[in-house]
Amino acid sequence: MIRDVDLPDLVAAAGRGEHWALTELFRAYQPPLLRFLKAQEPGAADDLAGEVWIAVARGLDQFVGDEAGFRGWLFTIARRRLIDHRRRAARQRTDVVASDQLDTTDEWGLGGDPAGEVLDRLGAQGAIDALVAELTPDQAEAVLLRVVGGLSVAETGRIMQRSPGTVRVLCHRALRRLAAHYDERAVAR
Amino acid sequence: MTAVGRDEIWVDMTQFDQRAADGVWDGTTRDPDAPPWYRDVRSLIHRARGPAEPEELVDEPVVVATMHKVRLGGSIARLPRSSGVRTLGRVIAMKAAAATTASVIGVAAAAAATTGIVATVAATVVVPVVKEHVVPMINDHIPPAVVPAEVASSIPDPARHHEASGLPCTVAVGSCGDQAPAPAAAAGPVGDLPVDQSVTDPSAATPTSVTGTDATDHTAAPAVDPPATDPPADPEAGDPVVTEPPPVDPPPVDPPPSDPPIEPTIADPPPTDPPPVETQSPAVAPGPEEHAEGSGAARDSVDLPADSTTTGSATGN
Repeated sequence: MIRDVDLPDLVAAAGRGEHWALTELFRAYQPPLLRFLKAQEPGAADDLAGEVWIAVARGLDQFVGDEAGFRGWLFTIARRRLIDHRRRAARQRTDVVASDQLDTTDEWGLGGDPAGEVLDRLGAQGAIDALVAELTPDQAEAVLLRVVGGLSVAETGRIMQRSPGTVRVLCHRALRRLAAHYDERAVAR
Repeated sequence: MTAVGRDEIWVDMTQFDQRAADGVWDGTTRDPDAPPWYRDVRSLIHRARGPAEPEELVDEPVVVATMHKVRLGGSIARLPRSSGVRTLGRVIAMKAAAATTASVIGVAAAAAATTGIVATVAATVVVPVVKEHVVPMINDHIPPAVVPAEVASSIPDPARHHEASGLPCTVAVGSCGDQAPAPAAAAGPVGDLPVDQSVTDPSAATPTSVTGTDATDHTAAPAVDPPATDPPADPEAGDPVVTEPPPVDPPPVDPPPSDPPIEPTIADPPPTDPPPVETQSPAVAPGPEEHAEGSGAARDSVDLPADSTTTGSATGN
């Protein structure tokens, strides 16, 4: 993660098209961005991430803010690209299944497997998928923005166009679902 | 209080205690009262927020180069799709298209070969056209042949060949024996050549299959009744009968094409390079409400960050 004090200079250099600054931004924010997109649209995450970065590049010289503001901006763009993609997909009725989608929770035996070590073997994307597998779409989005995006309740609410109270409720219900799911697993162990 | 009751309280606390909730979702809570299942959730959260994995940065060269190009004023609509799924999809699509094309060509060739489509087309289109147009034109333009007597006498007589060989004659009457060169003999002047009766006999021109051991029997006593054909209008005895083909309307011939109209040549001005125009997407600074609401039409503009106060206020939490 980039420090608050470094980000304005970094954004300014990236706005001038300096290669090192663009690389720095990409390396810092591509992993959470890609994880967020893959958790929601696994088949289109790579393309959507590319679109997000192009939009970021276009608006870099307009951005003024700190690190959290940059993250909020990035995930706002990502969410809108996601919505656009879903609209297009709804019109085209095509489903692309990514190859890495095949080794998800079931592959790792999370479906009833009492072995707790399975969780430790999960990669980042596998952990995210396991985290949101039991959640509703709204709950999953709120949890993803909070956990993967590292956003606050207020920023999450702004991106989701919900009130902070609604985001808190969504996260609370998500935690309840996780509690029910993993408590059963703990009992089974 | 039971363990389940304590867990319920712990979970409910996150709804009202913002700091506790942040700790739960950050994975930093070290609350000794945390339920056992939270250990698994915290593990997932830590992994979800883990460092970058190599495959997540595999697109870095392409994306950074594209961003660099965008910053330098290039207009990039979208990145080239380079993910494995897309590439695989394109390869499969290309293979499917190639296989489809090959199979279509193969089926078409096999169908043409097995059904004789070429012969069918020739029989239904070419042959009638030839019969209707080409044959009458040839008949119109062939001059009547006059064969001198010495030439006619030098023509080998197939009837003698039949006689010599002793084979039965199974060819058409009009083309066998003495009747064979009928047009040439009929076209001869009176007295130059003896007009054979079979030449003037309309029935002689009718191809009739005759089986006999002697070709001369054909003219002496036809084995079959002559077909009922109209005789010539009033042929005078001794006059040479020249059987000219009935006048045939010439096939409709398209008039020769006149000189093709000269197309007016439009003198295009020589292409000139447009003056170099530096196109750069206008930078639009949206208001806070645009940043918060996403409409498809104003998407690009609303992707831009709000002013510093907006983004700054979002960082307070």
